Amino acid sequence: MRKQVLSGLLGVLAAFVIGALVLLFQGFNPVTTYGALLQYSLFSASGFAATVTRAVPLILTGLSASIAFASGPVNLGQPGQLIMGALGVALVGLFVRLPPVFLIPLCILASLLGGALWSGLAALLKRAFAMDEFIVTLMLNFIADYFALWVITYPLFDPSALSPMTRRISTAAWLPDLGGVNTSVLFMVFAAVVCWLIMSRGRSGYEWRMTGQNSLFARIGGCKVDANYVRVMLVTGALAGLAGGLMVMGGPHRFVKGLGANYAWDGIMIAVVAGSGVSGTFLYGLLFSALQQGAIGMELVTAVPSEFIDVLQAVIVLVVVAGRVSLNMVFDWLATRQKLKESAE
Amino acid sequence: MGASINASILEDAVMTHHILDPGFSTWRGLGLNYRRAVVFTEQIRTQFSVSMSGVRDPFRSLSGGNQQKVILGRELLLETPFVLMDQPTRGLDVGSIEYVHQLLLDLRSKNRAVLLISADLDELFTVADRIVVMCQGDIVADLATDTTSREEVGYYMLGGKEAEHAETGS
Repeated sequence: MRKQVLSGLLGVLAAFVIGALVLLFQGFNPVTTYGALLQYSLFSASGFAATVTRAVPLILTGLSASIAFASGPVNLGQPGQLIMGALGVALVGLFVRLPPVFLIPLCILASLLGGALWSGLAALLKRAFAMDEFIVTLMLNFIADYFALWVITYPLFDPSALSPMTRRISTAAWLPDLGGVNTSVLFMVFAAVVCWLIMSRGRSGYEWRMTGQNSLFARIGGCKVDANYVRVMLVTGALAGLAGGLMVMGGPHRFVKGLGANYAWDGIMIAVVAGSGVSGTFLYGLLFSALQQGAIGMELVTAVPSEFIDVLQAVIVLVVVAGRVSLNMVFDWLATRQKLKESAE
Repeated sequence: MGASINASILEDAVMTHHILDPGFSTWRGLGLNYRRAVVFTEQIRTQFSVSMSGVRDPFRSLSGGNQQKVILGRELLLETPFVLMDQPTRGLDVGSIEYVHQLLLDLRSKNRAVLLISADLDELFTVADRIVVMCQGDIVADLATDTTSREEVGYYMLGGKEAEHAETGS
């Protein structure tokens, strides 16, 4: 654990140094650039609030990918599952009239079900026809994308709008802001804690992880591998769906064209950087959110284009993922040397 | 029975036990009792003399012999009346092989049935009470270790028939 934190910190630090070199090479001042980046993402109240709110879809889709990758199924359908979750919330929010105490939980449930439906479809195809979820979830993303576009262009189109979007959902389903921080953050943190409990303390998490590492061993050891596969797909789909639902409930309060943007793909990237660990996904989610949020401020203050953040993100991914293995080897080597010294004395 | 190389020793040690032994579950079966798992892994470590620095170290940090001992310990502590082993000593060092043989004999003294599959004749003659020879998928002979010889076992292994064997009297 301590090694992972150390290698992660070293990797991010190295990536920032490489980023600084890129900036210098382009004729920008790295100190002011990074200063503006931090100022507008972490060290100002409004910036921090925006960073944390932006982290909600990133971390939730990241957790979805992390749990899937750690447990075996290659669920790459987070973008589609996110859209279906958001669509579920839009439907409930548009047509159900209830006080917030009931409507908000109902919307949350709809987002979980929307996502789980989409991943469950892939799980069903896998179980019935042995179709690889890797390709099925990927293709279902397109279907979800265009299905949602059709829904907001025809049946649920807001006639007063110029571009495809639904009407606003019932105000009873809006998640309030607490001092600039949207309450969707609370749901995200709660979901992250539950994920951590399942994966690190739960019996199912243990079985899922063992199946992900060696599914034959888990099967012989008595784990219900096939049932677990379906459960993992449903849970990870629900997590991505929750991301979409919270985005609708906390943000534009309606399903707008392009709602999911790149959040889910960034979430998958975060899961890869975090090595499919739950706490790592949470921390890297905050980091990437801070970078993306700070990019806006950075563009405001300096002449550096916000595309620089894409470069920096890519460098972080490459350095951290590539560095993890080699750093672990160095750590092992140091530990062995230490042990040899001790035994020699 | 296998193990996951990248998991911790503890995680590999509690497989199957985590289902059969209710002591490993917390919160009505939702949670896994990791404290209990540590105690259990320490038990395997002392009872099967596994040399490891910590139960949370990765399984791959163990030597081949110690990996085998952890797996053997896990399966034998299941306390099943029948044990099937396929080449349990293949690739082990001499000390570990002797240790495994002693374990097999201990199991036999505890009245647990052991079916040992092995290509090592010396091993079979050291530990087995009965030797059953298979050739091309069929059982061709069932011999008592005390009254048979390596030559006789080898004869059946190469496809010799019982009747011919009796006729030639070799």
